[in-house]
Amino acid sequence: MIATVTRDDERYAQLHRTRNARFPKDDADSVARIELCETAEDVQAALQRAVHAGLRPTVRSGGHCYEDFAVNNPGGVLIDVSKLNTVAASPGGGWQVGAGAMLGDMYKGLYELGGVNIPAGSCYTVGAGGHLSGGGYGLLTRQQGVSADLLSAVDILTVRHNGTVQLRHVNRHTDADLFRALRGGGGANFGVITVFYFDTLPAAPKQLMSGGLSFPWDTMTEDKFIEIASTYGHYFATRGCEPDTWPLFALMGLSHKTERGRINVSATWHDMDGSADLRVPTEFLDLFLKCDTQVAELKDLQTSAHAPSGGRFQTTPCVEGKHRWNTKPWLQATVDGNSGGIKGYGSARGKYKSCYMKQNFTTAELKTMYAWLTRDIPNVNAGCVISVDSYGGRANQPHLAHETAVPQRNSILKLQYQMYWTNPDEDAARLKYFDDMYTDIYSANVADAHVGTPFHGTNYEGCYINYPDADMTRYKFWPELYYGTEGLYPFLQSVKKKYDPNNIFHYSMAVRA
Amino acid sequence: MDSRRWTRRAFGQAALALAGSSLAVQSGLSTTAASKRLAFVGSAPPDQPERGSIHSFRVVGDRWTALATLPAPAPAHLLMHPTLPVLYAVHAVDTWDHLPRGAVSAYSVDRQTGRLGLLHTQPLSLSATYPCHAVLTAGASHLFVAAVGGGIFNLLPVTTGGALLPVSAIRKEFGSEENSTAKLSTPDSTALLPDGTLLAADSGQETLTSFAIEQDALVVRHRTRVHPGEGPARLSVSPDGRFAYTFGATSGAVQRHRLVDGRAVQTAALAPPMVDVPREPKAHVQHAISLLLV
Repeated sequence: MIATVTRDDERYAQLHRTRNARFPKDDADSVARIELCETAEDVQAALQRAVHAGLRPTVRSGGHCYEDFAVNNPGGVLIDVSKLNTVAASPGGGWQVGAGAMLGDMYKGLYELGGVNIPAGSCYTVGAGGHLSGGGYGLLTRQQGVSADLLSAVDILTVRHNGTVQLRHVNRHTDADLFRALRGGGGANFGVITVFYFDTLPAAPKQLMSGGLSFPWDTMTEDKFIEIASTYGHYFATRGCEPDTWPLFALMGLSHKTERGRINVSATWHDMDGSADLRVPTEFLDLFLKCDTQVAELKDLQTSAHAPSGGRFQTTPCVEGKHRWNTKPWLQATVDGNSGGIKGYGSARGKYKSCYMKQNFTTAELKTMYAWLTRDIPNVNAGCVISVDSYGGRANQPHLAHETAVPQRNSILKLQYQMYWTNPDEDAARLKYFDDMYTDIYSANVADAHVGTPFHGTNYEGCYINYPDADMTRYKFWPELYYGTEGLYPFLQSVKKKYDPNNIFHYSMAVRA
Repeated sequence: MDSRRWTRRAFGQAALALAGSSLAVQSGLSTTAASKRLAFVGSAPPDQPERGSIHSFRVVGDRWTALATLPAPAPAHLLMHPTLPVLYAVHAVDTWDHLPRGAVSAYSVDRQTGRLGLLHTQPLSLSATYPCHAVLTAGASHLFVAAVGGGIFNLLPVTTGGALLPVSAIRKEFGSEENSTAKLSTPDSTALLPDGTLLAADSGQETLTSFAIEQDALVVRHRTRVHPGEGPARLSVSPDGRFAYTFGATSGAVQRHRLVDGRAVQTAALAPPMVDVPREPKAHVQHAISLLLV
C-alpha cells in the first residue's frame, strides 16, 4: 500500500528532507508529495501516477545522497523505496536485496542467511538502492571487490516513450546494456530499482580487528604531516598491492587543525579464516612509529578510539604488542552502533568531494593539503577532514571496467573530502573554503586542461559517483571525471536514450542523453 | 488566411504572426508596418549558439536601420510585454549555469534608442533544455515556456513590473509510440486563447493540448491528437480564438481546428500550401533565429 504524504500532512516537514540538512534548499525546491511504497507494485503505481500527471519523480532509498538529487524536486514526487527492504534467499538460488534495505540490515540478513557478505559501505543506514547502483565499496573491497562486481541481476521500473511504466528483470542476457549501466552508473539514472540479485557472494570474515595511531595537531609540523601521509600512501603503492594484505582496510583521517585535534591512522584487519594473524596490520602500523619521536614512549599516540566519527568503526582499544587491537566477531563489529545515524533525516549540513589516487601523494600535493588544513576559515570553526581510504586489491580487476560502470580499476587510495556544520549562515564560507582547497590541491599534478580536478592521468583516476560533487559540473568534462575516458559515458548516454527516452529521471548530475 | 500563396515556411511564419510571435513578420510586416517601429532580431551561430545576440533596428517603411546589439545566448524566441517596455528572450540552450536546462531573460527596452538592457535571467527547470517558444498568459501574469529538448513546460510568474520570477510550475511530458515508431515529446509552439487558455502543439506527442493554471500548477484540460503520424510543428490561433491552425511536422499539410473551451473538436484539412517565397528582411543578420517587430 502506498502512503502518500503531502504538504498538509504533519509528517511532511520531516519526510520531505534528507540526511543532508542543506537540501532541499528552500520550500520552493521541495517535492509536492512523498509516496512511501511497500512493494514493487506500489512503486510502479506511484511512478505511473507521477508520469501521467506530468510530475517529475525522484527516488529515495536511505536518504544519504550527498547532493540534492532526490529532494530538490520542485512540485514533484519523491518515491521512497525504503520499505522495500527485504533481504532474502532468492527462489532460484543466490540472494536478493531490496533497494530500500539499509546496509547494516543487508549485512545482518546475508550473514544470517548464508554467512556471506557484499563488500559495501560502513554506514549502517545507507540505503542499498543508491549505494549499489553507484558501484558500492567499503572495508572489504580490497578483499572482495566493489559491490557492483558481484551483482547478477536487477529488477527495475523504466518508462517507455509513451509514458508507460515497465518492469524489467535485467541481467547479462536480458537488457544487458542496461544491466551494465546499473553496475555503478549512479542512482536513479534510468529508472527505479526495486531488487538487486546476487548469484554468489563471498563468505563473511570471521573476526574484525581494529587498531590505530594518531598524531596530535599540537605538535604537528609540515614535515611530520608529509611523512605520515607519504608513509601511508607508499604502503598502498607497494606492499599493499600484494594479495596477502587485501584483508586490510586502512583509513587516514587528515582532519583540519584544531586544538587537541589529531591526524588518525587506523587499520582494520578482516580475519577471514579465524587465525587471528595480525602480522600484516601490525607491519602496517609499525611503519608509522618512525613518524613521531615520542612513539617509543607511546605518549601522544592514541588508538582509533579517538578517531573522528562519521560512520567509521569506533572500537574500544585493547593492548597487544606495540599496538592496541580490538577484536570482535565480524558481524557484531559491522552492525553494532548503527553508524550513520538515523535513516534519512538529519540535522547536519555536509559537503563532499572525492578522488581516486593511482600513486602515492606528491610532496607538493601534501604541502598544499597541509597549508589548507592549517588555514583558518574566518568566523567559522573548521569541520573538515580528508578521509584517505585504502583501495585496490580486487577492485583493480581491469576486465571489470568493461563489464560494469565502474571504470576506476587502477587506484590504490580513495579520498573522501568531508565538511560538516549545522549553521546555515556558514554555508557560503564553508563551501568556498572547501571548493578552493580542493581546486588548489588538484592544480599541481594534472594537465592544464583539467586543472582543479583529479582528472584521469598518471596520478589520479577521477572521482566516485557515489560521492557526487555538483561543483564539478562547472567543468564540461565532469562526466569523464566520474566515468573515465574510455567511452563509458557515451555508453551510458546510449542506455539513457534507450531506457529513459523521455528523461523522466533527471537531476543535476544525472547522465545527460 | 489571406489569398497569398503559401509555402510551408510562409505558413509557419504567418501562423506565428497570428500568435503574436516573431518570425512571421519577416516579410509581411516590413511592407505593411507602421511608418516607424522597432524590430528585434535574435541570432546565434549554429556551432556556438551560446554566443548569440539580439539586434535592434529602427524600421521606417521598408528601411531598417541598425541601432544596437546585445549578447544573448541562443535567443530562439522574442516577445514583448503587452504594456511595459520589457522584452523577453527564450534561450534555446541545453546548459545554463552548468546544469541541464535553458533560460529566459527580461530586457528593458528604450523605445527611443532601441537599446536593450538586461534586467535579469531566470533559469528553467532541470531537463527544460532547448526552450524555443513562450507566451505571456492573460494579464501577463505568467510566462509559459515550451522546451523541446526535455519535453517540458515551465511557468514563471511575472511581476507587475514585468520581472520574471523563478519557475513556479513544471509539467514534464512524454512521447508517443505507434506500431514500431516511437517519438519524444517536442512541444515547439504555444498560444494564448482569448479566454486565457494556454494551447501547445507537440509534434512528438502528436497532440494539441490546452492547459489551465490552477493553484500555480499547469493542468491539462484537453488533449487532442492532430496530424497523426507526423504531429503538428507550428501553431497559430485566430484572433477570436475560434480556430487553431497547425501544419504537419514533415508534410507541411495545414489543418484548421475548431476550438470549443480550448478543445479541438473538429479538424479540417486546408488546401495544400503553394509556393511563394517571401521576401527577405531588409536588414541582414547572420544566423537569424528570431524576429520581433513592435
